[in-house]
Amino acid sequence: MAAVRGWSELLLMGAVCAAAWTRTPVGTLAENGVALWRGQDTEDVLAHFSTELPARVSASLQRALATQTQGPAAAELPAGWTPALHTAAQVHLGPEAAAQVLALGIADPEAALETWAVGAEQRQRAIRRARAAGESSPERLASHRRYLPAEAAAQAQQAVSEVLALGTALDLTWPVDRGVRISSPFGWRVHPVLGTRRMHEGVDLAIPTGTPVSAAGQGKVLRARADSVSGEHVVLDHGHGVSTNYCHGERLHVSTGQAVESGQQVMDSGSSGRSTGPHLHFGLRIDGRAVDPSFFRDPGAERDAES
Amino acid sequence: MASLLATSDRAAGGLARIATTLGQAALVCLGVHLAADQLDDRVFAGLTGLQGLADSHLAGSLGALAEALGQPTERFLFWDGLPLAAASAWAALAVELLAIALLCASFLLTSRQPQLSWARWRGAFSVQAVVLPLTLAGTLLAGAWSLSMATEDLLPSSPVAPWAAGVLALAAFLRFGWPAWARAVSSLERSGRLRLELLGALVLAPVGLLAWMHGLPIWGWLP
Repeated sequence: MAAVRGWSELLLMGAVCAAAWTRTPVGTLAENGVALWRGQDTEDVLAHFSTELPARVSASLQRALATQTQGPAAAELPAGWTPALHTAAQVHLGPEAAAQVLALGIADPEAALETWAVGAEQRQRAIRRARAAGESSPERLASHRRYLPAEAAAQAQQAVSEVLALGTALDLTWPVDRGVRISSPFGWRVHPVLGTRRMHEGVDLAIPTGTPVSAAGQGKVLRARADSVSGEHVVLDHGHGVSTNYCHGERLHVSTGQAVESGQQVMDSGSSGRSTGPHLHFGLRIDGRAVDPSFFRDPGAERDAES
Repeated sequence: MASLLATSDRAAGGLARIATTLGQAALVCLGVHLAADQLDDRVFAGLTGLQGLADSHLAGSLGALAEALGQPTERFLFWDGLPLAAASAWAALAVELLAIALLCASFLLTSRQPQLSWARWRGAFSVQAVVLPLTLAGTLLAGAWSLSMATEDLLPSSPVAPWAAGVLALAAFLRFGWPAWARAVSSLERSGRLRLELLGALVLAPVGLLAWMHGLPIWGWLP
């Protein structure tokens, strides 16, 4: 036994160092140092922490909207799944992968997507560890993500967060009648008040004062108040990094922190704040990025037709 | 054959010092990261709270500022474009690296042999004498659990795998963790530099607390 003590210590050190190399930012920093020395690509050291959505979500939004009408009816999907979520999975992961996710027969979309991404066994193992560590809601990915191997955690995060964000965005509706004219589209424009060229991160809808404005989807009121620029305005958080905003209202019908249903009236339109006349400014943001909401008025339509 | 094994083992044993040093440092890295991975969520929650506070007091002025700077007002008013998650991760990474440096220094930069004594600890009683042993113990135990998880992930699925991984983790803790802790505690001295000790505690205390809270697979089994 004494004859293998030296070897066992070396092996034990190797095991601890290998684990630190693969599971910690220090390992990634060391790996990046070697990669830089060899002139190779480095890895993102923040992947050990980051839960931010990559930009791919916004990029695939238009594609998703174009294919929205081809999705199956809600009745054909497992409980917990919506056609929008299925379309999101189809576009973001590919049709074959989306079929594999559905074939798992798991009602909870988050669990189904994670199981598809990392496998049932690895997911169960991470849940068991999170439960042992006393995490609240260990079955949620946010709670057990850190107990997955780094690569599996990144795969799970990508599949779950991106598809759920896209699915949430695709489930949104239009806050006023779909026939209302867009008086100022999303994109660069000369600001009507300031007279300089500015990015317009939303659309202006030409509606008379007092028109009911409804929530584009269910969610929570992040902010409902007035300021000199946006006037009376409402910001709704729909979850999974998706939010909508409604500006220049006359009267608000909701308050900060309140839960709202899709289609529930949130304000009467008006011309408050920095505005030249009655209209609704409607904005959509996915993971902090402004996205053209006019895609959602008529899925699949050419948006240039509006401008 | 036996003599060959003994000779090669002596050669391997010649590397014992460096193997122990690397093993101890790696165990600290594993444990500290398990805590820091929780820290970024806490920092994010704190930043979001600050954002909410600023939002309720400054939103109007920031909208006007955005216009003055030629930026889209939405970007200033609706905040969600701020890279708070990335900022939180960078902050957690900075604390993680600093904590690793402080903890490793506590047992590597000493020539004293481990000699635990209650009287000696009381003689060195200070902020550091309380925070360092607790943080180091928590992170070394968390590191051992992290090693156990990494091993289990590598082994083929079987009921034996968690036990095998547990044995390896226990061996790593006893061979690397315990001596490191004993060495660090033995070398504690009253420094008399309270400000420096408080600064160190500011880095180590959250890491230690999170390591104890989330780095041990026991809390879920307690009533």
